[in-house]
Amino acid sequence: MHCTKRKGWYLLLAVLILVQALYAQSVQEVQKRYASENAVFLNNERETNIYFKNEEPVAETAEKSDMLILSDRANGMYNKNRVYHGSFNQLLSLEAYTSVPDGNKYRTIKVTEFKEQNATSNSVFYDDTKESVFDFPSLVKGAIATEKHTEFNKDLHLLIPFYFSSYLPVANAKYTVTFPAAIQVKYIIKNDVGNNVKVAENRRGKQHSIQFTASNITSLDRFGDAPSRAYSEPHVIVYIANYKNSQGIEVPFLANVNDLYAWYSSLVKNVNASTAANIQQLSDSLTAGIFSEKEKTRQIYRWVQNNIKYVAFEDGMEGFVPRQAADVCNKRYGDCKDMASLLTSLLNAAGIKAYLTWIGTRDIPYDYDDVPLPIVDNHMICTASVNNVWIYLDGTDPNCIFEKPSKAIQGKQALIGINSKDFTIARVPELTNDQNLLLDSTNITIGDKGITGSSSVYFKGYFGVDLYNTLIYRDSKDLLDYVKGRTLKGSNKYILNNYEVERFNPLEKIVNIKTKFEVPDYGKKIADEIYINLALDNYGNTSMLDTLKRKVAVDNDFRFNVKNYTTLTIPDGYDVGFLPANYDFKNSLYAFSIQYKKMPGSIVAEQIFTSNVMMLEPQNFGLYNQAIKELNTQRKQQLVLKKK
Amino acid sequence: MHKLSLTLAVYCITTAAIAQSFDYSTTIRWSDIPEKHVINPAFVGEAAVGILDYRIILYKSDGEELGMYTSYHKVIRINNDKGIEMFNKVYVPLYAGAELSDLKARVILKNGQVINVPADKVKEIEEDGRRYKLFAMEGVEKGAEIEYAYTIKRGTSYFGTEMYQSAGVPYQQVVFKLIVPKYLKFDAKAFNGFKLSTDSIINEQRVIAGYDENVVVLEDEKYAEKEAYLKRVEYKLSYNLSSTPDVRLFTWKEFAKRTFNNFTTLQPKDEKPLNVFIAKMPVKPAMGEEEKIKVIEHFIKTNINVDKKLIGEDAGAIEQIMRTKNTDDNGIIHLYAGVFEKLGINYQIVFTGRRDSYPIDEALENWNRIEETIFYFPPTNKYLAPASVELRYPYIPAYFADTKGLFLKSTTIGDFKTAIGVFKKVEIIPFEHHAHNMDVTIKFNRSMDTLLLNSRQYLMGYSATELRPIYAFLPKDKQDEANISIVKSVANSTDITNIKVENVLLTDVEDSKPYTISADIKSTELLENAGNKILFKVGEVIGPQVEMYQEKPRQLPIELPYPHVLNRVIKMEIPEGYQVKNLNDININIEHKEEGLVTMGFVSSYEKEGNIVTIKIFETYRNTSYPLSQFEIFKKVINASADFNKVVLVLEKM
Repeated sequence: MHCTKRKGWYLLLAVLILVQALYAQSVQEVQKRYASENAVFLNNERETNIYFKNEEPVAETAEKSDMLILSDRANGMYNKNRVYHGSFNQLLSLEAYTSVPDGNKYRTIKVTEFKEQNATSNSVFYDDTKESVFDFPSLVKGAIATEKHTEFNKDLHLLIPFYFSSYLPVANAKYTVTFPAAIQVKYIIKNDVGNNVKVAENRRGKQHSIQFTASNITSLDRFGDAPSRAYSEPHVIVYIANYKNSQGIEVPFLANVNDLYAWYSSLVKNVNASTAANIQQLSDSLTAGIFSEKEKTRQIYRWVQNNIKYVAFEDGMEGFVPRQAADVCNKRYGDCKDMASLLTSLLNAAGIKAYLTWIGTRDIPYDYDDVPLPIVDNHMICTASVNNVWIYLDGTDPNCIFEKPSKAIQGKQALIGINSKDFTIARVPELTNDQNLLLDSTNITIGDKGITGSSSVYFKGYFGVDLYNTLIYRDSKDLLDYVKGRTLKGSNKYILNNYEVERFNPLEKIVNIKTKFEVPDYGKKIADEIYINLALDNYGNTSMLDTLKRKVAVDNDFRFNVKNYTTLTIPDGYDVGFLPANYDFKNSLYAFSIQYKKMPGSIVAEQIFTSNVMMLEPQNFGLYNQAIKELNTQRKQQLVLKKK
Repeated sequence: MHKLSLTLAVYCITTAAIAQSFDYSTTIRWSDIPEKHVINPAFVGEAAVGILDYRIILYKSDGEELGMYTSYHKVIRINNDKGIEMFNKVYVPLYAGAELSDLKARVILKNGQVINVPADKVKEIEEDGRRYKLFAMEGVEKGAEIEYAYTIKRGTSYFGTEMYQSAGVPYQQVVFKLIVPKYLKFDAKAFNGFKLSTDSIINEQRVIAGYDENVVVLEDEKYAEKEAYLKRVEYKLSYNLSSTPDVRLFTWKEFAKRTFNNFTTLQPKDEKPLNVFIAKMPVKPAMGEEEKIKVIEHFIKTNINVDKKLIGEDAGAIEQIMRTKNTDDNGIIHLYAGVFEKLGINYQIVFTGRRDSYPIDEALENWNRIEETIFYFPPTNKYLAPASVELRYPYIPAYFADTKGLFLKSTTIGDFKTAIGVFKKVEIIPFEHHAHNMDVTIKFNRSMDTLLLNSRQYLMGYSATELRPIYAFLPKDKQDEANISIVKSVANSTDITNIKVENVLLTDVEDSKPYTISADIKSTELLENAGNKILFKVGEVIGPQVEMYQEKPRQLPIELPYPHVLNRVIKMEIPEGYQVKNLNDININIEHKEEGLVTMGFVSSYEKEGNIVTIKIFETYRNTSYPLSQFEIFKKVINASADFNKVVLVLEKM
């Protein structure tokens, strides 16, 4: 569980209310090109005009989109539209209308009613983001639905990237930024694989401009297990590096990460300026009698994990500024920043070096090194320095293993704020496949009615963390169903007769689940032979990836090993008739092996599966498919027992 | 049903000693020093336990107006982390124009310390037309109690429902009070064991009191719809004794009259656009009535966007609908009624209940229970669902059928057209029309490692209505993807060629036009090896089946979306030189008969002719619901199909 810092602002990044005039490509051309679609965006345009107000750069942004309706089934599918706005981008004007074909001309039907309401999300309890919702009228074939709005951007640290693609194909996309010559504007283009984005810069005269255009952009198909679209969709990030003020003095803005930190630092300067009495007292009581810094840190982290619940309020700057530790401690709730504030303050009170730390979760592809902007992060943690080693403390994960990062920040850059001027950037480690282990030992016997058996499964690393987090929300009532699903063997006829869930090692978050089960009708007894497949576990999704269709990566939360040891007791009067061959497979990302061992009175099948990749890129789908194909083939081998 | 009340009865007996009788007090008791509470030992394992859920619905004079005030007082004991997460954030729903007052909220810690929620931390949001006040409880820890109370002054409604069993935790004491000026007489009805008094006059006020104790959480179950079984009180105004003591107010009769009038009255400005719209419809005078209905429906559904949440004040005005091609769920009724009237179609408006929600109760005239509107055509005895863009006459959402509805039968008094309301059953189209059938032929390739299948699935009725929207609304590439996933269910393989789909139009509703998808499949997925023997998982051809092998004690009767049949024929060719020893594993026979008719069953059998084995599988669910007493046999039928899914044939060389 990670929090999304200033979700409201991010929603704006995510939403595709993008935005134009007739017409780089004619309606007829577009109709022909996209004949099988229900609708396309003829134009998606944004124009950001930067200017000075009270010596500070601000901007007005105009967005416009024209959706061309291409089939008679679009009315009902695309009518509803939402324009998001909030305190950082105040809506100044909004209009919408449909141009309905009428002979050789268009007849305009204006949208007369807009409803402004809160844009809510599951992760944030309250924020001030609003949405203006309306329904386009009359989306008949050939109609063009136009939406235009303007907004005021009061803080240009928070300019939103422009995405060229949208939920429908975009025939023409255009983003224009105009700015006074005194402002130095830079940009970064991402994911422009086919070099579709054309850039036209005008850096002459008093008013400069940069224009980005692209045509015929279709967004890639989305998949539930894909990373966010920032990883794959073409977009441009525009930012202000610095500007000259009216006295001609250069004012740094966001040229590099130093500037970014200077801004962040100014936002948190009043946070925990002094150690509050309740913080000192709590810190003392948690660390009384402990001399090791590491142990003190562990105790303080554990207390915050156990006692502070995630509740986020984001009203204006609340999305950026952590609350005072003393306040968070009293309320017993907070968002990621609040928890980081409390952790930092408690640790400092115990004499431990600990710092507020800005970080992006794995949802965000950027590093501070390439993109020195607030869009790099969406999260805050506390980083402690113990024996000169960074320990990343994410308050939002109640079961994160001490000294290991939370799952969502593996591999990300952490911006650690040392003091008001200094910071350091460190790379959070990623857990190796050995650290995340699922170890299953199962014993079965086969009878006339199927198999009965017992198993003991250990969940380590993130397997254990996930299970600890799941168990918070499982009552005795629904635990059976959960354990059943988690330990299913053989077929869905699996009957769980008995189980025991033990939080085996609370420090390392290792869980052990012991079960007693039966699977009626599993295995087959015919004449004097018994057939049984000892690959009892379903590894989950074992279908191959469609390399023709899928162009976006598969995002796995972590690397892992799964080991299964299945021991079958050979029934009295039987002997092994056929033992499948052993098998070993390995490529650079995956490994799989299955070994059958004959022991006195039993047979052990040992299966090991290793996944050594988090972000599986499309160019590596072949490696995955190769592994799955082998896995599927090898797991179909049945053992034969024969009557003596 | 009876087993359900038995569970409750057990709780009631355990707490009989503290059982209270009706309490007619009219105010909420908020004591400055919080009371100490005892938790029922039966609830200690719960995430949290509701100690009190006390609600007062008060109608009183506000000057000239009758004001409506609803007051809530809740106390919840937090037992664990899940309980904290469930209750540390509070949402208070407000009706349009409602005002919140007297909000008090506090957390009482285990050690007795009280933490009040400051008033300035209460936020307000609006979402989908509903407003909420929200705030977070501070300092919550395990063992703490959360207590809050508030009053909402809302726009006066003469109908209401109070739900007492939807919070996800049990409540030890729940209270209902309806307090009205004594000249008003309300009817109230309690459902599912909630106890309710008759009204009593206390100090110029008429009070109806209700309570229950140890209200448990009703768990979700497979093939069950629990809403109807939740404890609740519904109420409505029936008499104003000060003005018209003999006139019963807000009857179904009046509702029928009013709504009929609303839905069928055209404004003068509506006439022209409506006539223009009708003129565009391909309705010919020579068509029969049924054909006209179909043409009208298809025309409206392909041209008008219906959206329950449409943004627009005038969404229901015909002139506006014609201009914007947009309307909401009321406007669409208005439009159809206007068209039917103009074209002389014999129709009735029907307000139907929902089998998956709270039923309309004929005895308690709660107009707020009316949610769904459909049309009935007496000459054909069939229905049309105006807001369901994916369905075509005579199909309506299955949950709207096989339940009671209020039919508006129009009648003419002089020149005046009105309607009388009649409750009767909205019949569902019988089971044999809803089918998911398949014919599959299977051969082995020469090397015996791949199956070559030809499959044809054909679906009718409700079974087909689930698939046809794919072809009506998705772009071509998504249709292709869907086709593959439908065919994939047969042999778990995506090695598929020659996909052919037929009768995919939304209007292909007749049994003679089954939705059909056929394809050739190559599959290695259904074969396993055991030495030199080949194991063929023939059961997987029918796809994964729901199982009920390990069920908790059943609480609720069985409810299916619609009755249906599944008839499958699998023809397999045994390769030359091979034999199958365990064909008898195919034979399964579980049936339940009532009065000689099979009401549910799963029967599979085979015939062998030469090297061809023909497997026939008939699965039947004749009813939409089965009583709790038939749960065991229902479970056997469901598991019979799940058992068939696991049938593996062993092929060995002769």
